[in-house]
Amino acid sequence: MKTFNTSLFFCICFLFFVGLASAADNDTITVNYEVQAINELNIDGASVTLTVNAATAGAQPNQVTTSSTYDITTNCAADAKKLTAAINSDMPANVTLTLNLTAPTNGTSQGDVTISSTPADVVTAIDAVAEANINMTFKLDATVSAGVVASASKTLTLTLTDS
Amino acid sequence: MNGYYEVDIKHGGKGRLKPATRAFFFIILLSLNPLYLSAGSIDITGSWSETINANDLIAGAGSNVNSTYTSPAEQATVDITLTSGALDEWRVDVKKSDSNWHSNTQLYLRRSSDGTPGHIGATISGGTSYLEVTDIDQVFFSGSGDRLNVGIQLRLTGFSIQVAPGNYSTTVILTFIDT
Repeated sequence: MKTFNTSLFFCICFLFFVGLASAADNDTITVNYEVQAINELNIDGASVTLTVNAATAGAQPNQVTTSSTYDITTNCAADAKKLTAAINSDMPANVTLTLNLTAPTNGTSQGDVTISSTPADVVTAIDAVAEANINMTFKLDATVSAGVVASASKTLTLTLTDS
Repeated sequence: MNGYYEVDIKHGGKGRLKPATRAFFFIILLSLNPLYLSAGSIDITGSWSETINANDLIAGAGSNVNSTYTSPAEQATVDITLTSGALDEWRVDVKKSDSNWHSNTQLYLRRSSDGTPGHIGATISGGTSYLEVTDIDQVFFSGSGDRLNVGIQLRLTGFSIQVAPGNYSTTVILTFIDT
């Protein structure tokens, strides 16, 4: 009987402490976040002006250049985006507008690109990046065959698009 | 005859249960003891969803997204109930279980309010500073007695444009432990 009572005591103690040890309960909070595609582009400065008005005797008129900057933010995958450039209408005959965009980090600049009304790649292989004040250079050339060209305005459109 | 009844009382008789039967009923009674049963319970109300898009850029094109997003102060509330009283001490542990989580981002939480005591003399302490939630249980806050409407505030950090577009989710698990 003594052995039985001792066993009973330990059995009860075991059940009691097992009961206490398992005194746990839980509940949950679900946390979700969504990251949407971000593709933002901005050209700094509302306009640039290029005037061809000088030449060295015996040579074509001097090329003129001017610079601006652009800003880009994208969370795209590696090499997933590119920048194209186009103007709203083609340049007059024998007048050439060239654009050279410095690439953002890890992108690839296409160097000097002649700009027309047909979009042309100016930067390719763009990764996720957030950079501001990246240089862009405009160059204007006119041969003597262009003659005197009246002042005109073109609207340049830079587009961040899928590669 | 008197002597007969004295012996009967000491060693059992027709009116006494066998030891094994007594033990059985004792265990049943023990299991019905409110102290034993009242291990306590935790109930959470609320969840949190956050959307990051171009509106979250710090300064438009060329800038990054904000790195930190914080929920309203009482995005979720916690009820601790079914404790045995103000002296019944407990703690709440926290961990998370990811469904799809970007490794650049971290989740924090904190206790944003004391809530209201469900027992006179019930206490609550700890957890008022942001704690990074990991996959391993950590002590979040502790107390005693019932406690209702304890505010929980959540915070997400580590965002940049390097976090690829997509939907990410985790489950925060709060575990009540009767101490």
